[in-house]
Amino acid sequence: MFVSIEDLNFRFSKKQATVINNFSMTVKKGEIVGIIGPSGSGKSTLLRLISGLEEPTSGNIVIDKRTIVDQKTYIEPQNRGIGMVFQDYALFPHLTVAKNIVFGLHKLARRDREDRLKEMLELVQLKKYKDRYPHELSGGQQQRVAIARALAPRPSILLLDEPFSNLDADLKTAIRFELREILEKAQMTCLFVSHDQADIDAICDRVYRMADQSYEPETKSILEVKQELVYSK
Amino acid sequence: MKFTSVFQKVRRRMSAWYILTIIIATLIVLPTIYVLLELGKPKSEKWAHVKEYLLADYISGSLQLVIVVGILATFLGVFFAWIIAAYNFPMRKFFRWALVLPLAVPPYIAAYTYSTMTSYTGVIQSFFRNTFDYQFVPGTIEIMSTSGAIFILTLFLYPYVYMITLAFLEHQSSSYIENARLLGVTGFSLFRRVALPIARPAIIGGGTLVIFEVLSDYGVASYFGVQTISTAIFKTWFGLYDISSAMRLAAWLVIIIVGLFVIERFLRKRRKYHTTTSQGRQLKLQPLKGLKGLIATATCTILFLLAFIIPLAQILYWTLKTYEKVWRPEFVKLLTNSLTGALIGSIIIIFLTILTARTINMYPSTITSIVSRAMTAGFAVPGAVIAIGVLAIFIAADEKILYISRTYFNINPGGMVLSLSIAMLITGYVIRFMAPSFNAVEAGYEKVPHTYREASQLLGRSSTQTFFKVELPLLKNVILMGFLLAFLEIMKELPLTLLLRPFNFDTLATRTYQYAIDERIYEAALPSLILILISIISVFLILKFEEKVK
Repeated sequence: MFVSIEDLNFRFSKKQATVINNFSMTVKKGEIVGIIGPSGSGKSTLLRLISGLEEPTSGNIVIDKRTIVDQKTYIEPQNRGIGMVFQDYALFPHLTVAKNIVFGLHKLARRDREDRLKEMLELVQLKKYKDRYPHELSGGQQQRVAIARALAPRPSILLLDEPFSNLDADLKTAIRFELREILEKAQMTCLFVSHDQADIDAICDRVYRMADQSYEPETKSILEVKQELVYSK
Repeated sequence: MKFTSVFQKVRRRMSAWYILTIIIATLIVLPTIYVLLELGKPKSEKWAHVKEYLLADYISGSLQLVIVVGILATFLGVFFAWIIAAYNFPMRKFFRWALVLPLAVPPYIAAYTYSTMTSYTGVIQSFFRNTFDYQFVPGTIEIMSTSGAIFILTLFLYPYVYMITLAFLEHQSSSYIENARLLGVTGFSLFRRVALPIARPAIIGGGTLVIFEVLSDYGVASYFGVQTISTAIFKTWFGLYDISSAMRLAAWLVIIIVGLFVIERFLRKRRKYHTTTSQGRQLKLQPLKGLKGLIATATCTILFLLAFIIPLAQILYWTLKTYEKVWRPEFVKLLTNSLTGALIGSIIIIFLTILTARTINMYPSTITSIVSRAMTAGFAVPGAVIAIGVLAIFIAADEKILYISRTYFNINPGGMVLSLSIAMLITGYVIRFMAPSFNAVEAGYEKVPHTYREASQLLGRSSTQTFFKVELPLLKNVILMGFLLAFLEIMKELPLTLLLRPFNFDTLATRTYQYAIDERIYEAALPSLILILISIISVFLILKFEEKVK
């Protein structure tokens, strides 16, 4: 398994109830897995645990045969090689699109950095916008910059936290389709969090449902998803 | 398992930033705590004398000023805030910010200006004498008194209440007041039944600032010969050379202030007002037509003349008469001294401020919230108290240095090293004026979403890189603001500088004060004018900044 999470537990403080309770899951390489559940069910927290922004109270996470957290290990977020698209995108407002995208490429040589930038701009089709600032872009364009920025350093896995919550409802269908295309082209292993079943249906190969502290994996084939997509059109 | 995870958490939090922050916060409150510890030590011989003959006068003097100025300044501030917030009348827009300007006149400068103006040879009495041939009965206008001090402090401190109350009424009260108007409540009754109670937290906040300023005041009280605890600290120190008694007095002052804090908390806690819904919408102004409008304009004009134009005009006049005499190489030295002290002090302040505000923002917890209180405590503690605490600590450190160098290294440093240096003064400045710039930078940090830092981390950047690449560029305006606030406050500072400066080190503020007590009023005008201009810039910046934050 490319990603394996075992018996993960988490709570914010001793006084508070557990947010995540004995959670386990696996993801194959190249798979796009959805996590669905109502707000407060711990979906976003799960992503923060995987990325290292929070530390679990117990349990372990292994990505690509490397243990990133268990009872003895804790790898700092900046050393995990995980990409994340935040709910609010968190694009740096003082940097242009291009500079946002190369932000994580500081270890590359200048030439390589420029090549990678070009590749990323092509992938998300924002070449024309590379010198704009985030506030000069539409919501959908901002989302694509956030994805490009997260993919640029070639992370082992991409985490997406409710990336559609900031978009207008009438734009959603088109943008869902675009996102699926970008992720497929990039051949990325993805974890995608949403509270909206339609998002999950459009994008994911497989779904975990988080509610009432029980996690039932539902397996769906890509074919089914595609069929549903066609149906919904 | 549990243990390791706790250990991991501790290890992660115990970053260098975190430890440094706690050390800085401790250093900030250390002088105040040191002063308080004096209460547990044996009393000096002179304390009995101080206690028997002087203490009651000092306390009653301080209380009299605090209570009367507190009430009058709050009344003035609230009255004018309401007129400006609720009504429209000729020149309202001008007065809206003009009524803040008295804050730019350091009260001790206003004190000597008014006392000279009202003296026998001053502009008022000579005008009546020369124009109407009218002689005042001696003692008719006796400003060198407690009432004089009350008059000055009220007139130049009310803007604290005015500013905070006005901001509250303008931005957070519209839905309540408009509702009350719809229910037929208008005029004074609207003010008394709705505006006053909902603005209470703001009014108390402003009033508390006035009280801290009064307790901290040294210049006005000593110039007018009013006995207060702050002036008593100077007297027992420089008059009786009794540092122990001075510290004991300072400790009592701290206890009074802590008491005030508790009262303020209590007043605020009893009723909580959450006004989140109506934020941002301006209160609609009621026009005051005809005579009513003119009365409103006239009232504002009188206040503005008394608290700003008249003293400023008088100082300008004196400056024009004397600037050639005062503007000498020695004056440039004063200016450089002031600038150097302010520059070094505010650079240290902004550095410490960034460090601590960042840590508090990154690791919110009970400890960091205590730290954040400690960082701003210096503002409530009078300059004289901080000064005496810092001095006591520096002297103790010097004794240790002397002892160690003599016993272990067989070197004689030849007297006090630290307590005669400018380091002591700078330390005092840093502790006293950390609060305004800390507040600015902390507010700035709160506006930067956590996700920026997290995104940068996930893109492989270390914490320090994140600071320089993401936080610093986003916060540069706030940081500049925090720097300027500290700089301008230090330029104006008087009591702390008087107590902690090295021998022969004069600043604009100390020289102004020296000229004034030497009755060389005309010569004091030029440095006063410079100080007022500096303060006007500072007031202007604060207003601009508050608008930006909103």
